[in-house]
Amino acid sequence: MSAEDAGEGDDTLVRAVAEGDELALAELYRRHAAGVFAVAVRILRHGEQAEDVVQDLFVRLWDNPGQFDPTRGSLRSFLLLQARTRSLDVLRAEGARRRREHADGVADLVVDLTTDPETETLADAAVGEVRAAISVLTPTEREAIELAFFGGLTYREVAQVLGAPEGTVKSRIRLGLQRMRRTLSALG
Amino acid sequence: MERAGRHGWVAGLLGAWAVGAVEPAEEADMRRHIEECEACRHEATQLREAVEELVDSGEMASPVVWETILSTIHSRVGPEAERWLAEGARARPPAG
Repeated sequence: MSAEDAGEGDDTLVRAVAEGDELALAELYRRHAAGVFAVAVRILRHGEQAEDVVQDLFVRLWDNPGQFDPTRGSLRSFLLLQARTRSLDVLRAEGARRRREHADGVADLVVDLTTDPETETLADAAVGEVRAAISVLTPTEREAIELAFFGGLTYREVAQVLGAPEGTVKSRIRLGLQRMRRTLSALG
Repeated sequence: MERAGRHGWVAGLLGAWAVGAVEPAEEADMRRHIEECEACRHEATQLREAVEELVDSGEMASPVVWETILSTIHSRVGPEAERWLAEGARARPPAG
């Protein structure tokens, strides 16, 4: 990795990748591969398959860097969403057993509101330390966001799983993300 | 749907959109509005930034993954090499 690449912004590095700069791709990998892996392993619960998703995404970025549009958000958020999509594709291509395992994982994300909200949930245990920004979410906001993102459900499906109105689910996801964003701003 | 109604519909769905949880047809409709509505575009960008915080990036993929990526891209001709090859072909007369 060159010192120049290490100091560049992601958008600049993606343009360098488009010019065939391997070092730029290496720097983007250093910055974002762990995040991509974290999403994939959380959805797939299978390290080797998650690594295949990481490999696939970075080869795709090399082959077609123009797929990332910087006017629609950061490269990191783009890659994390791609990791979600590719992981769900892998699950869909798998047999019924894996899809059942995934459904069980989705059920684990549903918060049992009869328990103490301070008690660590199964999802917490799977992920380890909860990031500061996530910790500002109410249990129902976090549940809706995690079911949608890691569970791979649409907001309508989340509403069905929870037996809640679609409007309520949409609001929980939006308000939760807004609060996380404000927390990030406050943390500087 | 009239403009104000569409704005309200899109704004209400922005959170679900940010986590990839809208139907493809809805996303296409939303994208058209987001491109022309500065308020929605601004919130969309902010919500996607929050999504970045949903993952704990503590664990790393095996080093073998990067080696595989490198060997895959080395097996192809990159854009720079393609240009070089094209220029070389123009500069050199065909053999024979």
